[in-house]
Parts: sequence; structure tokens; C-alpha cells
Amino acid sequence: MIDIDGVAQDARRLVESCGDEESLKQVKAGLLGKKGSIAALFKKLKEVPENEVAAAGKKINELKLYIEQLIGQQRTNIKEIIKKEKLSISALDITLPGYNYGAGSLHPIEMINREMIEIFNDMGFSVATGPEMETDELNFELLNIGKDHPARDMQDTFYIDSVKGLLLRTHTSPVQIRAMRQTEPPIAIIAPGIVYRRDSDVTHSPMFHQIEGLMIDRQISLADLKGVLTAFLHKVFGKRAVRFRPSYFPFTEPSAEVDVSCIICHGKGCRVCSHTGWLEILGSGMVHPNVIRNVGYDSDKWQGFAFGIGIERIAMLKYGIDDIRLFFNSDLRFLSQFSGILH
Amino acid sequence: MIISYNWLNDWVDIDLSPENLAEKMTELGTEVDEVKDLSKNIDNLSVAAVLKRTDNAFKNGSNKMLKIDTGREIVNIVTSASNVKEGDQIVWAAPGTFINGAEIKKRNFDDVESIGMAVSLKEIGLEESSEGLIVFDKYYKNGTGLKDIPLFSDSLITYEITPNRGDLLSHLGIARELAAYFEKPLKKRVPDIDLGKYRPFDLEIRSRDVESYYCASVEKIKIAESPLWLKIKLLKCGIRPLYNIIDISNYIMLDTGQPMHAFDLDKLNKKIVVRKAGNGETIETLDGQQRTLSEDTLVIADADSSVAVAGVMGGEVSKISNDTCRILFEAAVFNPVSVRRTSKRMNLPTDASFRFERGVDRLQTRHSLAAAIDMTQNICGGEIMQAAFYDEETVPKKISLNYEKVKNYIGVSIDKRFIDKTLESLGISKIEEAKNRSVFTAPSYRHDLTVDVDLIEEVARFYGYSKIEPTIPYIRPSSVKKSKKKQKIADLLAAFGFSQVINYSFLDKDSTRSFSSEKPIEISNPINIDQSVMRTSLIPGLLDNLVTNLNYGSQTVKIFEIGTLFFRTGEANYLGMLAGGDYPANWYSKKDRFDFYDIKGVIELICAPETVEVSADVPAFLHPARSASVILDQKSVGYIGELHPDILINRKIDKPVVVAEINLDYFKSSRHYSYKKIDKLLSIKKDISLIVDKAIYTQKIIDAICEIKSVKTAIPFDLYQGKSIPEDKKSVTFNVVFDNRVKDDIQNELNKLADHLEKRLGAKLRR
Ligand SMILES: [Zn+2]
Repeated sequence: MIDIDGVAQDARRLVESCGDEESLKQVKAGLLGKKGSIAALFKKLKEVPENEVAAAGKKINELKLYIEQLIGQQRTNIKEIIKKEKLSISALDITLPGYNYGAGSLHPIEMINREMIEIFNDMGFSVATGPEMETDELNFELLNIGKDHPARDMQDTFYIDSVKGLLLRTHTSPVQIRAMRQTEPPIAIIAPGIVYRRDSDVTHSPMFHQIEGLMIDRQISLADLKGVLTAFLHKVFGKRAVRFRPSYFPFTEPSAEVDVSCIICHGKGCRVCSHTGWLEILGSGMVHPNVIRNVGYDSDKWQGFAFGIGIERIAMLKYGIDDIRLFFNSDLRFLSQFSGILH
Repeated sequence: MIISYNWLNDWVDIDLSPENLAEKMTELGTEVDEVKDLSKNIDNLSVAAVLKRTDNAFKNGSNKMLKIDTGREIVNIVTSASNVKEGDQIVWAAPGTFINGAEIKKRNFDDVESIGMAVSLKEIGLEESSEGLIVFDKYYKNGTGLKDIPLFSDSLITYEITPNRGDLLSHLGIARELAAYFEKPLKKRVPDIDLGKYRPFDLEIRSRDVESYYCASVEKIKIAESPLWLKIKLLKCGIRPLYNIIDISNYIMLDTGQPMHAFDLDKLNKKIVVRKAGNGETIETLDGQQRTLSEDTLVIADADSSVAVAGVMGGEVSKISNDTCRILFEAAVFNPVSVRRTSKRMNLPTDASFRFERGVDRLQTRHSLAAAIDMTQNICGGEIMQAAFYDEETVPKKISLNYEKVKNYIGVSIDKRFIDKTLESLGISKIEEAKNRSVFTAPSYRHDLTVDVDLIEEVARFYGYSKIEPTIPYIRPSSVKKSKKKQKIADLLAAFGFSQVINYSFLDKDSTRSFSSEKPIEISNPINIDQSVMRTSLIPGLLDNLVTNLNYGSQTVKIFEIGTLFFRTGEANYLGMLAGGDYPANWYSKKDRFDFYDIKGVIELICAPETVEVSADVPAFLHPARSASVILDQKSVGYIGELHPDILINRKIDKPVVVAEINLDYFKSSRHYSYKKIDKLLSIKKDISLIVDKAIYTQKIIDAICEIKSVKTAIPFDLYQGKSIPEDKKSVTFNVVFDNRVKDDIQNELNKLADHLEKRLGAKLRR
């Protein structure tokens, strides 16, 4: 009888074994040619009973189509293989490093600075800046720190010219004075920048970075100060306990020192927090009416808060750095630890 | 400042443990640094009596044997101290006691077994070093544990005051604060004295800087060591005992905050005058220094000359000595500013000046003097002979407080009764009352209370900062845009492999001079000579960083700094860059060192799409043939260059170091973008090679090419000197882009270009 399935299986085996165009041609001739398998099957139709001829003929035709399809597919396969072989000649060692310029890095102070500025920007504070060399008037006097104020001992000052009252600013508060003198209230600014104090040891640097903030409007209160600074500290340190306690700054009244629960020991007490469980993070308070008046605002109408935070201290806590001098001696073994762009 | 917990309890009953008290003080605004429990040092220590002392019984001649009664047994101990005699009561440490971590054991000296040891103040942590053993001057039953004697079983609280709270620099001050908060009475009787009943002492006040002055003479006193209790009380607060009169002065200061001074009355000539010093007047102060006084120095003088610098330090001439028998005790309050100026000018900060600067209570003066004289009579004997006093007339300042403002300021509604009660407990008296507003006066010891917000802070403190519910205020939107210029440049440079550094703004004079012709601004009080002028260039710092890092073993140093430079004309923001050491090791190029173009490429990116022009006018520390100044809008804004070989040799650097420094203030902080229609016609690209004089700058050729109207851009891409080119020539190939409009005529344009370049630069087109 006519063995359609047998022929189909043989054909598939033959076609798929062809590795190049030439052998495929030969196989094709053997299957579809005049003396090929299909032709042989048509010849056998004569032996088939009359009533089955039509059905058998249809089957042989289907088989022929199937084989043509197989050959077409195999031709495509052969072309692909040849192309791949050609490409593999130009193979690369994909494990070699890519072309690059080496790993640069942003300074850790820059990173913390940006992080904090962004938090305050998001809350609606704008950035203000000013010179690092200031006058005694802007750095002290207008901030309610007169010439003979004992608070001057808290900020040991570098003088450029003590007669003319030129000095290196000890805080960025003069920026607040400048901003208030330029703008009518309401005002909400932060003043990031470099400040100088005549002090040098493992935790004090004669030059360091600060961000100060100021918000003045009609009804800004101590409760608002707590709200803004708590939100800020939660963003920087995560949700941990924040403590406000009374303190003193000549330019604020009431004043508050702000602590967060120690990020090392979580309040149990350790060396970093001097066994108190708290880390002193920033100074703040309600702007003293004298300061408000000194810039020409009406202290009966306008009130608000100010705060200041040292960047180095935050960076030291966040990155576990134990010597402030590392920030300023440009050791690449230190700086390169802060490389990478996804901060 | 250190206070004793037990001493504090003399003034007010405290129900809190020392630790809890410390926490409360911190919450109220007086930050406690440390609480030290003294009872930890006195476990197993007890009182014992010396029955017999035997000297010369040992090979070591300084050892003595003491037979002592410990209350339970009689034992022998060996000591080298020599201040004990038979009948004295001493402190005995039983065997097994730990002192400073070491266990006291039985020990043999020659043939004698020493059972435990006799203890000095050093062993219980009150003195750095002790000369002799503790000897009681008051009877205790033998065997009494030191733990049961309050003088020893105590806690010490170390705290810091804020500069506005001078009133807290005493046991009385802290007690007063706690009494107010806990609503308790002050227990201790404040001694008083009627100075009027004594013969008047000749006192003359000739300056407005005296707020009060009280003095009294005590005669027939005996100068000696102080009793043990007084010595220990001073030691606990960190003051070294000397002899009775001085110790009494210090005791009063610790107790009430009033600095005291005692003169040897026999060394004073007749009277006391408080006056400003005469010009050129001198005094030898107690520290042995001869000091010249200025005209605004307030002094205490006798009929002839000054005998003390008021509020700062006494004079050597009238100081108490061993044979003093008549003294004049002084308690006074001087103007804070006057004292501060004098102490600053003399560079002589003292316990007294520290207190006067922060304000001493003028109404406490007489009580302190009374207490001092009381103590003197008890301890040194003697009797009061003469006295005098002066009080400056003052009117207490009225402070008007609006109750509504309290709420407004704190952000919490606080009951009027709480406000009144708080202020009253703090000694702030209400002198007028109205519905919304009352008028108050502050007590004489609270110099910090002058305006209403000061009272608001008192209310907030006692209400408790922690109880104020946080709120978030509405912040009105601002149109001020922050410049991100520096941030973007830093990001770009980090991406190009540069690490950001921050150097100090101050430098030494010499390195500043070799990197800048500007005369630097000098600091009048630098920390050290290496940091004495403000920088006028970032390069010296960066170069130091290079050397340091090469020493640390870095092979490649690519760093940048964005910082302030300080000129006599003002401050400016600068970018400094440095690339030195080896070019980063890599497998794809043969380059092994940095050169000019490494940095020029980055500077061009920072400036783009603005073009950087360069000119050859550069500072002397750069390689004269490998450097350029950067021109932007016809202004020189900085320079790029390899450092001069001389500088490298000095620092033993063997590979080129490339630096750049540019003034960022000339760069726009943001760019305004506006769309131009895209030219959809394809432009025509042609490569042209030309041969020109070697000395001609490529930029000049580009400029010349672009002078042909149809040329849009010309980019050099091949540079060749050598074979087939004359020695004084170079071949440069450009990729030139022409406008589409000359498409059909391109050959003509090329010819035009060739002619033009020939004429302008003597260049020959290679065909
Ligand atoms: Zn901790």
C-alpha cells in the first residue's frame, strides 16, 4: 500500500540532516524530482482501488506540500547558521572593562548638603547665599550679639581687620540678615555655606559647613518650628525620637537645642552620644524681636523661627566617620568611597 | 561647673535621684554633662582610730606601723604617710576592698603583716595626688562606713550654663530654679548682717561701674588649714583647698555665686577707693605677673595705689599670708562689660571674671558677706571691727506681657493662671494687672529677663517643650530659583572621573605668592602660620592634594574643587581641576600620562554650547608652550595648562600635571532655550586635507574655512607631520560640512575654499 507516514518521516530526517545548500539540493531532487519519492508514490496510485484513488491522491499532494515546506525551512536555517559562523569571527572578550574615565566622586559634604537642601526646597524654602568674609555688624551686632556679649566666647572668630570689623563669618546668619533687608516678609529661606571658627581638633575644624534656615510670617510659632524641624529630621535620620530642650542663642528667644535619639545605640547610651542616648543635632529658636527690628521689620507684626545645623557632624554620624579632618585632607582612599552616581 | 547633690539638698529638698535630677535640669535648659556617683569609690571604707604609731621599725625608713581600732578588731597597718598621730581617726580600707580597680590584700612589710590600708583623698577620687592620709577633725564612731557619712556619700553633677544664665553658677542658683519648678521652698537661712553697727570703714566709690560694694574687717584671726568638711566640699566642686580664708571665699562663691576677695588689712593704706586706673599705673597680680593698667580698668585701691583688679584678680601686695591676722573681706558686684573688657585685654579669665561677665546678683552681696564673716568667725576666730557698704540706685525694669502673645509665640493655648503661677514661682513679680496684659519685674539675679519674649521662654520652659504639639506652617511659594550651576558641574566632573575635594580657604603666604600675583588678604589671628592668608587660587591646594595622594600610593589623581577665592576686590566662585600621576591604566590605549587636552576637553563641555576661545597669555607657573587662557565673551575667565616643569621638579613629580582654574561667576546660571526650525535639506560633507606652516593654530584654519559662506562647520580629524611633508609644515584634515544650496556647484565651492586658504594662510590643498 501507500506508506504516506513512512515517506514523511524519512523526508524530514533527510532534510534536517542537510548542513549546506548543496546537500539540500540533492535531497530535494531525491524527494520531489522526477524519479523521486513523491513521483514513485503517484505511480503506485494505479494499484489503489478505484473508490480510494481520490483520497490517496489528495494525501500524496499534502505530503508534497509538507516536504516543500520542510525544505524551505531548512534553507532558512542553513543561511542563519552561515551568518552566525561569519559573525563569530569578530567575537569580543565581553569581560574586558568598558571605555571609561575612572570613578570620580562627589564629596560626602556635598552629598549631605544636597540632601538637606532638597528636603527644605521640597517644603518650600528657597536658597540664599552670601559672602564668607563679613562685617562685625552683620555677623554679630545686628544679630543681637553686641561687642561685649559673653556669647562671643561661643564663637571664636578669625579677624581680617578687627579695626574695620572685617572677619570670616562664624555662621551663615549674616545671609539671613541680608535676605531680610532685601525682601519684605513673609520669608522662608535656607542659607547653606562655609563658616569659620578658630578651633581645631578631632571634632572641630577651623572651617566647616552649615545650613541655617529662617521663616518669618505673621503667626509662626514654636510649634511650627517643632513641626518643620521634626519633619526634616525624620527625613534625614528616619523616624526616631526627637527632643527639643531650652537653650540660649542671643538671636533667638525662646531658643531650643534639638536632639535625636542616638543613631548608634538607639537611646541606650554609647560612646558616640556620651552615654546620654541623645545626639545634639541643631540649634533653633524664635527670632529675637531685636533682630526683627534691626532689619527694618515691624516686630509687632512679624515673627518666626530660625535654625542652624552643622553639615560635617551629620555626615560623620550618617557615614560613621570619626575624624572631622578627613573631610579636608583630600585623601582619595577616603573620597573614592563615595563614588557612584546613584546616591 | 560642678555641684554636689548633698550640698544642693542643704538649699532645697530634692525628691529625684541624681540621674533623674540631671535629666530634669537638661529639660529645663541647663545641660548636664556628667553625673558622678562618689559612693562607688567608698565601698568597704570605714572610720578607724590610731592607737599607736611606731616609726623606724622598717628597713624602708619612711614606713610607719599604725595599730588601729577598726571598731571590730585591732589590726596593724603600714603606711608611708606622716600626718597621723596617736588618737587620730583615719579611713581604713579592709582587705578585699577595690581601689581604682586594684584589690587591697594583706601584705608583709619585713615581719609585720599589714591588714588593709589607710586611705587618702586621692584613693577616693577627690584629689589628683595627696600628701597625707585623711584625718577626721570631728568624731565618728569607729567602724562607721564612709557610705553613711553624707560628706563622702554624694553625687557630683557637672553641667554647662548658657551665657545668659550666670545666676545658675552656684548651688543656690540651681536650687532656686528647682524650687521654682517643683514648687518647694528654699530651706537654708540666708544670713544677714547689720553693717551699720560697726565702726565705719573708709570706703570711696568713684566709678559708675560698681553696682554694689560691701566690706567688713575681721581682726585677730588665725590663718590655718581648713577643716576637713570644707576641704572636701571644695574638692568635690573641683577647687583645690589652700588655707581657711581663701577656702571660705571659694566656698561662698560656690554656694551663692558671689565672688569674694580678702585683703590683708595691715597691707592696706587706710582706705578703699574703687576707681578707674590712672594712665600707666601698674599692679602685680596674685599670679605674680606685673601688669600695666589702662585708663578704663576698674581697680580697688587704697590711699596710695591699686590693690586689686576689680572683678578679675587681687594684688600680690595685699594678699593673705600665713601671718595675716586682720583681713578686709569684700563682696561686690561690678559692671559685666567692664569686667569682660579688662579680663579680655589682660587675657586673664578667672572664676570671678567668668561670673561677673555673666551677671552677679547685687542683692545677694550683703548676704554673702554676712555668710563669709560668719564662717570666718567660726573657723578662724576673730571679731568684726569695721564695715562699709555701697549700693548703686536702680529701678527694676518693667516688662509688659500680652497673654495673647504667649499663645501666639508658643503655638499652644496656655492657661493664664499657669503663666502667672510660673512667673511668680521664678521670682518674677507682677506689679500691674489688666485683662490681657500684665506688667512684671524680674528678680535681681535674672539679668537675662528684659523683654516679653524672655518671659515667654520661661513659660515655655516650665510648660515643657516636649508638650508643645508640632504643627506645619503654610509656606508661601517663592519665585526665587536656585542656581544649579555648581551642582551640575560637580556631577559632570564626577562622571568624568574627577573626585571632589574641599580644601581650607586659608594658606601660607609663600605658596599663595607663587601661584597668584594678587596680594592676598591676611588673617590677623591665624591658628598657625601655614594658614595665615586667604587663598587667591585653588591650585596650591590641589597641588598639595596631588603630592599627598601620590605619597599615599595613588597612581592616578584626578581631582576638582569648587570654592571661594578671596581678592581685595571681593569674593569669587572658582572651579579648579587637576589631573596628574599616571593616566588610568587601560587596555585600549597607549596613553600613559595626562596632557593639556584631557582638561581642555572637559572645560569645553562645561562651556558648551558657548565656545571657549584660548589665548596664550598665562600665569608663570604653567608650561609656557602647553597652556592657554580661557576666553569667554572676550573676557579672560581662567586658564588651562600643564604645570611648569620647574614646579614638578621641586616636588619630584615625573609626569605632566594638568590644571585648570576658571571663574564660575562669568557663566550663566541657567540657559534660555528657544527652538529654531530644523533645516531638512541634507548637508554636503567633504574631507579636505591641507598643508600649512606648523606654527599656524588649527583654530585659525577653522576660522578661515568658515569664512566661506557656504561652510557650516569644519572639524579637524587628522593631524600629520613627518615623511612626505616639509619639516616646517603640517598636514591637517578637516571634515567640512557645506550648505545644501551649493549641492550642484560643490566643485566650484571647493576651488573657492582652496584659493581662500592659499591667500589667507598660504595653505595648499592636498588633492
Ligand atoms: Zn549612643
